[in-house]
Amino acid sequence: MIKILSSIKLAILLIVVLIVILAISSIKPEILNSLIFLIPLILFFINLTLCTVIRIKREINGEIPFKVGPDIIHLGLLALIIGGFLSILTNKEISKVLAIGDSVQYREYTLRVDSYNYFEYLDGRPKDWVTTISIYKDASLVKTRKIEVGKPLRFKGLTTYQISFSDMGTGLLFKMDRSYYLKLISFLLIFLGVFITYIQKIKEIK
Amino acid sequence: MISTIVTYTLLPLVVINIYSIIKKRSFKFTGYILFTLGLALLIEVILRSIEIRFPALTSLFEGLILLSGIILIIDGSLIIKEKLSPGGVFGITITSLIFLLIALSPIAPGELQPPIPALQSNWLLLHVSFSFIGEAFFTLSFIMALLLLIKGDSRYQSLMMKSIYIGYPFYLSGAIVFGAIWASSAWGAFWSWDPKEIWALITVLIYTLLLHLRLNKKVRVKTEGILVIIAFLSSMFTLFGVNFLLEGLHSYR
Repeated sequence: MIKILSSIKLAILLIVVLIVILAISSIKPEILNSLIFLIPLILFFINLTLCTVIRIKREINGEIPFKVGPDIIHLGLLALIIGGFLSILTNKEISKVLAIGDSVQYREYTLRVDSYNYFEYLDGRPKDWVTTISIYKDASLVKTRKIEVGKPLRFKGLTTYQISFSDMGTGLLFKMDRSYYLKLISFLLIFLGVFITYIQKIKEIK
Repeated sequence: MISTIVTYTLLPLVVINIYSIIKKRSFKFTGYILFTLGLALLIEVILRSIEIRFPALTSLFEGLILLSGIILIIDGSLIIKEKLSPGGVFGITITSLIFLLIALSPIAPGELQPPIPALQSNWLLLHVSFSFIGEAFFTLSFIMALLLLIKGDSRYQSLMMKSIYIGYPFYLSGAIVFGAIWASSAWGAFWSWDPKEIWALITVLIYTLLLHLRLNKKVRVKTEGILVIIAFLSSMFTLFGVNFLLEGLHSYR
């Protein structure tokens, strides 16, 4: 059983299945929320976990040469899938349009909008949206920060994003996602691993 | 505009190229010209960047100019090193010409505009440049795969796989990794199951499939060639098709 579950043949089959399901999702997006997608994804996770563990074991025992690149990619990918499931379970977000003086309560902290600004290019297209926020704890100021598009504020597990702007006020997205750093590290591992792997491969060809 | 001049200069080069296929010999001087044309396109991107004081890589037009530039540089260097057959040169030159013609068509408006807020990010630059470097090497592998299948000559296989070994890490990091990191700061999520993201993932998975089939060792050269063609078509659909056929977050054009 473990032999089948950890085989590269199963990996290949699952990659084909995932490609087909992803392509179908362009026409039927709901397929990504169904068991048709979830089951092969979980099987893929199990397959990749077993493959990786077995590979690393054999490398340590000296049965196969150490190739650190693929191991890094695979560990990164596994961590990313875990991060994905973690954020489905723990992710909480809410977006709000706030005017000057409006505030939002987060645990024992109060986030208050001090000001916001809209900058545009000469032709009228948006250049930047900036909101200044002050964080208070029991009426005493903890800190004041500027939030811009693409430059969110991270504060004690809460991330605040500048996402829109209107006459009614500034559009902010408040998000609690415990998996942020896990996902960031996973992505960076995949980046690192894939370059290590293929720099080695190209050297082998020459 | 530089890109227009480059496009017109490519036309006589294609004619010389057809002559070289008939004569069955390649002309090294065309390599130097193609290399220079590629550099000229990169210079256009740099000039545009200076004008808007931000790296000009935020529209389809600019992306295609960059892509053609990289392809022509690869094309030229391979001719100079005498590593390409006249047929290969023809395929690569024609493909970059097609990308340039699309760039100059109304599909890809070329007016110079500084980027909207969500696009002002260093991660975006890595996202775009790495994706297109990957795409350029995928183009090379695609032409090699076509020659492999048409001529039935497995000599093309080595260059086909080499270009995938270079293109794959660039495309995977650019399209998926840097794209996700940028999205996490601009949209508040690494991944949104947006059609362009899904198709970039499909493209990566097809190349991943090919690379893992090779580990299994029982794959025929012809099958490899067919997979490379499918993967490239998927990357083209990710680049063009998604913008025009499917709705999503990436409709920047």
